[in-house]
Amino acid sequence: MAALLGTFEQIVLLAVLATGEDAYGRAILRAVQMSLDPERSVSAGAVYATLDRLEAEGLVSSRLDEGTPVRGGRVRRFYRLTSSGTSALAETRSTLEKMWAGVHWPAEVTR
Amino acid sequence: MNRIEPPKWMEGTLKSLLHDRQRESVSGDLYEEFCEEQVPRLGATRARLWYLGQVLSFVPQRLTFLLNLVCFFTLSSGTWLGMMDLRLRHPGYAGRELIAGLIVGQAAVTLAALHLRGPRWLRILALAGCAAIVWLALHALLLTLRGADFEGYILLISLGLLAQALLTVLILPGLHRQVARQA
Repeated sequence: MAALLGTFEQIVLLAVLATGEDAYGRAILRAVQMSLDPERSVSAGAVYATLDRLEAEGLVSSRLDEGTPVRGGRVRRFYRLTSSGTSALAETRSTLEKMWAGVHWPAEVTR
Repeated sequence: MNRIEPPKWMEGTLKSLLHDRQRESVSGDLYEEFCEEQVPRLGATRARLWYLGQVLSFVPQRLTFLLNLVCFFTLSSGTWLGMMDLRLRHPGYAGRELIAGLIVGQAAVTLAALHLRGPRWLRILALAGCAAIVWLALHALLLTLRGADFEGYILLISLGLLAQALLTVLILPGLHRQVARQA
């Protein structure tokens, strides 16, 4: 069994998945921010470091595309999930669901 | 009307913190977000503060890269010192072999703690070893500065060890929290 994904890795992978064809850095950043707290800024450094790590692990792949005038002509890097990324996400979800199914929630708190 | 852009020095700082591969795409993403979303939403001053916060969020990545470089430097220097002493065998060489061993060991443990993110004891060992290399570096610095013969290589290795200790203390506790969150 492959190692389970961390919470932030899952959020970033889901953001890539949710933004679909438009999954370039800024769109992913915004999707992560919306999922966490729309009022607070998410740290771009953490998101890009996670994307880099996921790419090094083969869970996402990226390609460069031309820049647009609204970004000063600078290139855009588009991300997409690889088959390993999809499997890792599915495996993490299934493991967590199995664990949740085995507990009574809300948990009783003993004082 | 002139478009409000991120301050040039902040953009320059951001680019200097990014790897070549990310430089254009990431700075473009943040430029676009600044102009299209943050300035209209927050106003120019608060948008600049937002941008500065984002620039600073890339500092830890760069520090990790720097710590890797410094560790490679001290690892090579320690190996070189150890080999020279073993070859020359001047009186007291055994003590200097121990010092070289400490330098090499601490660099190896720090690199392992950085790259093998799992074992907690490795991070604790690397952090504890910082006290030993700081003591060693300060001792060597004082001897070099007070001594009749100025030995530049000792000064350089001592400064490398101090930088290694400082970066280790800055980075490893954060790495510990990151690993704990991901576990």
